[in-house]
Amino acid sequence: MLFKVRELLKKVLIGSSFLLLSVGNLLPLTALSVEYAEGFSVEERPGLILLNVHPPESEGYNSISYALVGRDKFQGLTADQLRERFSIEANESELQIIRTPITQLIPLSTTFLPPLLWLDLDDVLSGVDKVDYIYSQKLRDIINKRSIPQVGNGPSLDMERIVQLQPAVVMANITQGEWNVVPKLKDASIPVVLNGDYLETTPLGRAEWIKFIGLLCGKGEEAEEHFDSMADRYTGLQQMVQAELSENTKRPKVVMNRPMNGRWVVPGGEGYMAQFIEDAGGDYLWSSDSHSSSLVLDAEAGFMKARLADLWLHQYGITSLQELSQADSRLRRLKAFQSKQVINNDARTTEAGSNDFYESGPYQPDLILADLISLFHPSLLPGHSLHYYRFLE
Amino acid sequence: MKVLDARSIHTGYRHGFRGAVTISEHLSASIFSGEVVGLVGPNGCGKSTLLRSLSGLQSVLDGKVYIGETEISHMSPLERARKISVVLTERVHAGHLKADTIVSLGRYPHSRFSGGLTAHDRYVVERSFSAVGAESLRYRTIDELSDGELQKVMVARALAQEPQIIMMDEPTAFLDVTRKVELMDLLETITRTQGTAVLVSSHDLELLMRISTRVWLMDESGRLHKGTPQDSEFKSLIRNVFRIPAHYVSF
Amino acid sequence: MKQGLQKHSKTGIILRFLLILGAAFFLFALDVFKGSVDIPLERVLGILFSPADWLSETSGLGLEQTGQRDIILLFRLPRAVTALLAGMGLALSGLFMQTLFRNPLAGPSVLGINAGANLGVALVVLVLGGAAGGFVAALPFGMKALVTGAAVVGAGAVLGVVLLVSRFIGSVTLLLLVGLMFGYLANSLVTLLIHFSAAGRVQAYLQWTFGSFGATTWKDIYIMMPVIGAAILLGILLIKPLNALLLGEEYARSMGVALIRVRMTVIMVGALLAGVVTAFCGPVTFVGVAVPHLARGIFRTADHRTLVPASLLLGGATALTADIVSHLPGQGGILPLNSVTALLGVPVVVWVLIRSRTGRSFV
Repeated sequence: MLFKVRELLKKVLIGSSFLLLSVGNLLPLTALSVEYAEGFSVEERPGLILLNVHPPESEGYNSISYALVGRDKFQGLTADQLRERFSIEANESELQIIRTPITQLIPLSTTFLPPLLWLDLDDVLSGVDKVDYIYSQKLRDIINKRSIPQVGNGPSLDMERIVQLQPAVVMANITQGEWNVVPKLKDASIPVVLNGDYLETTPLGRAEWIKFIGLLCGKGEEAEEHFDSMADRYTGLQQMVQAELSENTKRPKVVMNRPMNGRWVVPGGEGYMAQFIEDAGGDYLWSSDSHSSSLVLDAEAGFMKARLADLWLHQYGITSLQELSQADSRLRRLKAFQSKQVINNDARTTEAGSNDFYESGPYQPDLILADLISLFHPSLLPGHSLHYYRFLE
Repeated sequence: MKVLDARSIHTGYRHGFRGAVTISEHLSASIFSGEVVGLVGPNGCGKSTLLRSLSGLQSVLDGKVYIGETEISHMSPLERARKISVVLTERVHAGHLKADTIVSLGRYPHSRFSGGLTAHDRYVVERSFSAVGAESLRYRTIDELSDGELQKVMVARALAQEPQIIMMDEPTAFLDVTRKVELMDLLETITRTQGTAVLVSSHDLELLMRISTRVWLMDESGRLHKGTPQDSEFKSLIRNVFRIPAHYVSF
Repeated sequence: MKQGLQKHSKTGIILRFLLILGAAFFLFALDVFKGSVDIPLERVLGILFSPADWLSETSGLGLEQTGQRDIILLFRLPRAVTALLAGMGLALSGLFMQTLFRNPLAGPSVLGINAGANLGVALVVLVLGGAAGGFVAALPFGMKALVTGAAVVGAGAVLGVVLLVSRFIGSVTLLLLVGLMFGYLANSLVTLLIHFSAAGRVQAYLQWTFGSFGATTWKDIYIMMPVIGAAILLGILLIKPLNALLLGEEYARSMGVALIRVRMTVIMVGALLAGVVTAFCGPVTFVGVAVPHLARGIFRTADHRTLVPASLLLGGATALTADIVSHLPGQGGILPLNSVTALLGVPVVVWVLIRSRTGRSFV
């Protein structure tokens, strides 16, 4: 009889501790390490996780920290109280409490959507900017099936809709959030989380923000796993390139975009695309430039350099070589044009104009890198079929 | 020689789709070369409208106006300008223009299409300046001229057009007494020496009566009465229309 | 003594013209010689004056040299020519608008023509652009031609309405108001389009609004030059009636000016110039309003026989100056044209206006 009581007690103990553990999501949130991204970091405190967003100072955006707190914890405490209690640095950066895991999210940028799919977070999606801006058919089906509302963005942000969707959290791009979205939302006391992936200057750094999204939605570990396997593929490719190419191997010279209205805007030498090109074994014509965002050049300066290019990447709004020459007949003189080495990143585009390169690309840099390697040094990846890129004809 | 013949005209304004407002009806009148016709009448009776209608600045609602043998509405603006020139009441807003330029513009209907002046044009301009006694004003700009000096220049311009008739709408309105007299005397001289006809409307009754060959009196209903300054019945008619007691005026 | 005075001012005028002509030549040369890519002077001269040596494909020129040749002949020269033409066209258009409306603030954009062009371009860039890949590919000409064409059609549409209205509205001031209203309407439609468009396309449209003389190729100039040339010739024919108009519409009519016809021709010439420049260079502000005042200030006259050539020359010089300055920043960077035109022009115009002891009117 005593034995049975002991068994029963054990079961009750085990059962109730499971109950206790699962009620209110008491599973401990684990902090993740951030290796590549410079725009955010993760700290752990007893009972909460601190997600710090610190955009590069030169860009002029403010830092902000999010305290990820489980729903049942620290009820009724204000951010300042939390700050004191956990001696969170009293710098100018704001501290905001976000109750995690987020169960309803309104991502305003299409870049934030594919991670939701990969991390099985479909249910969390409760609002989007515009369905037409989305490339992924799967996402669009989900949105249409569940009649997920469209809330617009920027000046056309539908505040009423967002208020109706409360208590959803809005995830906005930090570059966009500052002056025409965030203040409006803040005024209406709607929680906003700013995602700074766009400001990252390295492909892996940008992709690492999947951990940011994962942590907010309670799938931190899954996000880390996803990222790690992707990063492994990326670094694997990177290392292969480094190994295979010697000092003497010719690296193709690369030019990007085209002149418009007398200006030729190219990505900066310290930026995202420049890094890709270098990692793929290419020679970006403006690699010595020190801008991390775009470089605005006079058309003739761009042309002078472009003449040296072997490969020409990225043509916004152009789908054929003929269109390119109609846009500016002088471009026919470029070597890359004449040898038909004009490659656009619009292989995956819908009729409405949404380009997957900008949707799933940022968090899948390994695919972009593979494409670029196969373009720059085809012998290194024989049999690779281009995913995001295609040759213009 | 008859230079202008108005045959049973109706003057007034058209208001787009709302129809017309008639001011004078069945008005007939003529002007002969070399004469000064004074146009008088109370404010608002339609003097300006008549003057504008006769000069072609406005179209008549009915009837025809003939300049010589041709009807005014069948003339091109250039042809009309060669026959009629005008002097209006308001000061011209062209401050930086020189008087010489303004009078030269009077050659518009005669000069080359580029606006350039031939020797003959320049001669006419010079003659116009001396006819009004404004030679000293020639190279001054408009904003340097007094009202009286400016009106002299405008008359010179009207002369430079070499018209058959000069029509003047209250040209002395803003001038002081001396200038008024000066200008009116000028008109009389011009008609005498150039043979141009002058039609001038004015509120300066006494002056007008002094210089006019004939007088047109318009009453409040827009009817035109014609007479001469010597005719005493006509003079009392004028006084009646204006409701002036006899002892107030010298005519 | 009067004769002496007259002669003196005549030499004064000729002297000033020569100076401005010289300045225009100098600025044109400077615009071609100086650019963001450094090309030594001798080379530039060589390319310009013995193009035969440089153009032949088999002349054995190195990569750098062919690059320099292409820059000079395909980028710099067209840019300088475009600036010259645009400056001339805008200045003349501004002069005409100021005389027609007797308003010193008037300019090429006063009739809403520019706004119409804006609307046309916005429609193409924001609505058709990008998404209409298939649509555009099906056309025999490309996006750029479409944008240019849309600007012309937009400007023309507004012009058509304004001309129609001007036949029936007597007062020129009312016409000005109608034009302004159309401008507001077109601009608000553009804002609406922006509101509904994706960021990428708005960016592209925004770039267009900065204005630029460098967006044209020789093919474009082959269209620009005859159109602007024809408009200028027509404008010269208008000198005489415009002078008459200085005295006011009534006096002008009494002197023989066919008012309605002249008015419509002035509007057409002004709008044609504004429309064609906007179509190829985007909306270039300030030049059209400021240059006529500059001309009036330098020559102290309202006579269009002086003002028309003066505005043409000064307009070209001003545009060239703005172009040169906008290409000053080193390492290939450039400044938006419209900022430069205003930044440079405003102090100059203010100085001219203050000096010219303006009386009751600006004429």
